[in-house]
Amino acid sequence: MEESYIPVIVNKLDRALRFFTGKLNFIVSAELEMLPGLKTQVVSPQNKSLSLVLVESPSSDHIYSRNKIIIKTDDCIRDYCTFKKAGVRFKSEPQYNSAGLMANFSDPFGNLYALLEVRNYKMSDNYTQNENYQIPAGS
Amino acid sequence: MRITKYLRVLDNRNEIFYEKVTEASDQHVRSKFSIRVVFSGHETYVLGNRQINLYPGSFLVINEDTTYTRIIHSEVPVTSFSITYDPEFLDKFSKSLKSRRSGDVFLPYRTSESEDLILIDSMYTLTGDMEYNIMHLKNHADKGLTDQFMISQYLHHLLLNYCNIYNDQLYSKTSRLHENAKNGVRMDIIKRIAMAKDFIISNHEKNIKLEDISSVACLSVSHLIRIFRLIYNKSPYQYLIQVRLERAKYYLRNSGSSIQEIVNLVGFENPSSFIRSFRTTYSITPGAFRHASLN
Repeated sequence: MEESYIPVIVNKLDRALRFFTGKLNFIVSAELEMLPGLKTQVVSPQNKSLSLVLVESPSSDHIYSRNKIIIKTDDCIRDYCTFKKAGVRFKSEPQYNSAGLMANFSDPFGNLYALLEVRNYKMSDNYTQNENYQIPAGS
Repeated sequence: MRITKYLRVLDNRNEIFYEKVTEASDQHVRSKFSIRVVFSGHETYVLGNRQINLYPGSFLVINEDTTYTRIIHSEVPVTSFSITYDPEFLDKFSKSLKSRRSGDVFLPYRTSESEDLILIDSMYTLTGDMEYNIMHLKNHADKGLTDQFMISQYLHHLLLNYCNIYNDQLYSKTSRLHENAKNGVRMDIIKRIAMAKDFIISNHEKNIKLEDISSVACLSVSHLIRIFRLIYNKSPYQYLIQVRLERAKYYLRNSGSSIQEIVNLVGFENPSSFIRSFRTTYSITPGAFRHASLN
């Protein structure tokens, strides 16, 4: 498999596009007619780590996906600050977990997302890249 | 031209300082709370009658109101980076933490509400989130203060990381120490053991004796060993060997020094005891390790 597309149901495609490109700084991929008869648009973050298919569904009674879409980043706090300033609603400040640093937010239609910066917590050999090395002075 | 020095002062009066030099000496009187690292070479801090050598891989915390001298005297450039916190920012951080967290998180810095804490200016391992956040912050600060909100978020996270490290590595481990021990007793024990550990790191290349360490900590040898083991899961001697081996690893990777030179630099008695110790700990010989890290 080369590329996967995740469908995201939205009420209004143009409002969704404003959210993704204006606030999350996503880019609009080439128009793809994947779901004939439905208004769709593919968007991706700048690092193109994933592709979302925005699907317009004007009916108010459809069930939004409660699955969380995880957007990978190399700097969670930076993106959290940028998104927050653009008016994105975050559930909380970035939180640490065993995978790294994560910040949860939602779009105007109630879909759930997480920004995830994966961090390697093993005693790593990071220091070759960053002039840094580690004395395990702790436990 | 590459920048060799900057001081960034934020609107909230927190400061970020970076410098790459071979010589420096500055005195700080009744300083603010700061977190300090070096990325290459080492810095010496003279704090009263204590002397701390800060190497890459550790971070140093200097508490509020400490008077100290920072000295760099080195053949290779020393890259240092530090964050100094304004007391008001610390106060706000404490309040935000207390309002959001249940349980007793010990906040290891002085604020207007906790002036009587027994604290120690001490080094901690630079690893995990603390390391990631410092590296990210440095990258942002190198570019200037384009986004103060973001920089402040980083400073907030670094404080959070430090509190977690202090609580996990020191405070929680001393809870088993004395039944019903008062907070003052715990803080005092942490202070003494931290002084012992800092002494080991700062003098690892010398022929230090257990008696020297115990006198620095003002503890009997047996008491020192027992509490040191409780906190660091190893004896002071095992800890010393570990510090030497990690320093050796650094030189193997980052210098062209021969094994004999490294043995002298880090304080092993002779190459054979160094090689044996290295191989036992890392399951690889120093030569093979160097070879592997070059490729």
